[in-house]
Amino acid sequence: MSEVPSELKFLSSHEWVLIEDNVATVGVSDHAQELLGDLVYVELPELGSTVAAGDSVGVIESVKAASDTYAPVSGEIIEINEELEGAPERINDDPYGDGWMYKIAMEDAEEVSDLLDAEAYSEAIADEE
Amino acid sequence: MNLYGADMDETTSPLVSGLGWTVAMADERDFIGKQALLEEQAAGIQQSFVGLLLLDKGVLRNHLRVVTAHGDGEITSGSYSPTLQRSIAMARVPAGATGQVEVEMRNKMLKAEIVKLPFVREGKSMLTDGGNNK
Repeated sequence: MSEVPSELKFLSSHEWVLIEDNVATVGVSDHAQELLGDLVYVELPELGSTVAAGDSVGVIESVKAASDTYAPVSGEIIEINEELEGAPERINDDPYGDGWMYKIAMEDAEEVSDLLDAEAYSEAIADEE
Repeated sequence: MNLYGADMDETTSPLVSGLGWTVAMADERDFIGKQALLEEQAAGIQQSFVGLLLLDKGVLRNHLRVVTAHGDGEITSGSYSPTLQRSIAMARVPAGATGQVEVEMRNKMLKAEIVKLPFVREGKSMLTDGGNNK
């Protein structure tokens, strides 16, 4: 069973979000990295770009599959995890830690209510299995 | 090795699929399709089937456009090679294309290089000097 930390919010497209003082840190869930297998390439959004919730903002590729990643909330990309460019396997090794992808300065705090909590996400992935 | 349906199908001749060596053209026997292949040879083979090594980061996938000095080609198979730690692909490109080319991926142009197939044999890289074996 993959790990689903209770302090995080999730998207049904398997991104996790940590909200701290209007900054959303985004990554890929443990469940998703397990399904994708060894990651070999991560394309992150441009630093300083503005994204809307639901936008496709990057791509993660494993040997067999390329998957789009979606912005969970709207705002400006204020930080990206540049380490991932040279070491995409960090997402496999530590999806909720070193494998974080980018941070968004949120425009609309209300959008958080559209995200899944850990319980709802756990149910969603249980249904998938 | 080519995959039928991806790297070649009934619309692509063996001569543009890296499979010319499988056809006994020197044989006197007149097999089905020989005439068509002779005509293709006489007219000049328009494309060649090559290996690509991605020099930039990313993963090559099939149907991506390959831009060469001789015109555009297309990737027929692409993946990531754990042995080479780089992405590799097979592509059909205009005849005469060699050396460095560009591949269009998600509206970006990435650098790649035409290399000799196969990429890897018995678990060892066949590329010399990082792919600059032309």
